Amino acid sequence: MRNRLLFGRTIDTGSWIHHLDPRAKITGMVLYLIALLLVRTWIPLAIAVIFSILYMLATKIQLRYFAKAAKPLWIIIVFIFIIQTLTIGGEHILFQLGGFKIYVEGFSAGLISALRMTLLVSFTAILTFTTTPGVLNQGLDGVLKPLKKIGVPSDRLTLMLGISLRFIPTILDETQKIMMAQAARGADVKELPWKEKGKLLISLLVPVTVGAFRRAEDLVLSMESRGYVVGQPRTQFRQPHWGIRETLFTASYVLLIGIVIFLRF
Amino acid sequence: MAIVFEEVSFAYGAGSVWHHGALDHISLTLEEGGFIGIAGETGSGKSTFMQHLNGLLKPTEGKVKVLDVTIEAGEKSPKLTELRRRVGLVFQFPEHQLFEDTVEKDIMFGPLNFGVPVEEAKQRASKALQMVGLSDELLPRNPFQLSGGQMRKVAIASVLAMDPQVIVLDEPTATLDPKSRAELAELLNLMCQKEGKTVIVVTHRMEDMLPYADEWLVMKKGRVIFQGTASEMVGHSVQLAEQGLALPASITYWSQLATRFGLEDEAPQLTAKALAERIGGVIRDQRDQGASEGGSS
Repeated sequence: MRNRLLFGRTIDTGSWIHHLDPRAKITGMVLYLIALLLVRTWIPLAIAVIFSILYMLATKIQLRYFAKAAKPLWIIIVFIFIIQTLTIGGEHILFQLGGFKIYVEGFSAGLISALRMTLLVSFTAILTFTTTPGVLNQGLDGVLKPLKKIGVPSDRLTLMLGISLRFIPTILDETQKIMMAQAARGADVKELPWKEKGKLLISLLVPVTVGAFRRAEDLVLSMESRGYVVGQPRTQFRQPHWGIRETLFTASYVLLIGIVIFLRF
Repeated sequence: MAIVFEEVSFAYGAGSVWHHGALDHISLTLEEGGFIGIAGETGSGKSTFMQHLNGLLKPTEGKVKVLDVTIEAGEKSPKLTELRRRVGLVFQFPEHQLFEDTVEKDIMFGPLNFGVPVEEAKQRASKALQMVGLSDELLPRNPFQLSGGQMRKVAIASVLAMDPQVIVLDEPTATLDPKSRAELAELLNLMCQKEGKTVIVVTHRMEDMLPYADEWLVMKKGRVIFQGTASEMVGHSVQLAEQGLALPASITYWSQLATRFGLEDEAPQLTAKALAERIGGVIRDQRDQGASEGGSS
């Protein structure tokens, strides 16, 4: 289960991207998302692909891990492709069956959308692969801080997000343990007929939910006993540092957006 | 021979960046009907070892034979349902696996999965509950309203109800109070002596199982660094302590007594009572010696 769910697992190779200020990485990812949304044709897409692969290589993480990160979403990606292909019309007919036509333009648009989605998921995996949840959360806090002035409870949001991120691996581990314990009692996912799998789900969900609540209660008690109050000013153990590297990193995304916009006209 | 390991290695996440070796070329044989204790520090591979005993984990190298089932690395494993029934595994904090709305249903979960008819499963549930020293009155109760110790016992009963030939428990006494710990050890001893079951207990607290275990395995960094009886362990106590094993007080006590009074060749006395008697004997010998020396001068 852990191996299948790559999202949220850090792979430490010590590259310069790992050491970047998390705020720069988050800003970069948001800008990347904007750039991808602007991509409509093949040439900007090709540039985005090259751009993405260069950064993926810079992380020194094997490319197949990025490919794996997009894997859980393959159904959605295929769905996007089919919908776009079937609905977008054009002038050149690629395939015809009676009154049913598929156009070259639709096929091309479908392919571009599917690729964009794949790129988006695997590229943003850079963020989670190179940033531990704690640092990531700190970065998010930094990025959201300006919004506090307009009444966005940024510290509450980041606390919630931080706790959720922190507990994903813990709860996955616990789920796996309970799966094994139930398998030892004869309820093995692999060996049961489909009818019985429903029952198995209950034997898994109930203990995992109970466990999550138990953990939440423990966490509340331990935070309160340490005098934690949401919204109070806090010092940080790791002081973030925004240097020339961070500026250049962010600027590269602005450049990408610029190129994509330029190529549209 | 209940369990044979031949050159077994296991790694988590084999072939990925999270590769993490947990068992390192383990070869050993455990006899049927024995009471075996497994000790070792955290992360020494004890839990991984025990998950090989019913095929939950398959070795990445080597061969595991449990009862008449052989699981070999790289080969498609045989159907494991029967093995899972015959080898009951009680995980650490087994109370976390409870999920039904009554104690009875939860205990019946295992037997029903293995195809036991409902009526018989009910009988087994009541019998298993009595075995772990709880009253029948708990059967209709909601397991989540029981105390922690009772939940632990119910969870252990749910494995006993499968009527396994081999019972493997991971840290069953952790976080239990002293009385429950002693009761549980006594129960396991009974299962072994009276019902002829093979009992394997993974434990941090060797002293809990010391009076009952026929044989001990000590693990470190995925290897078995000692296999033998508690008495044999006394002979190796210095080396094992150097390896970071927290030896039970009775073993440390005996080995110090033995070195001081030259009792190395004797059978070690590892219970409080026997140890007290032997110390009494030593003191008496000393006194008699002193008296006879005093008399002659």
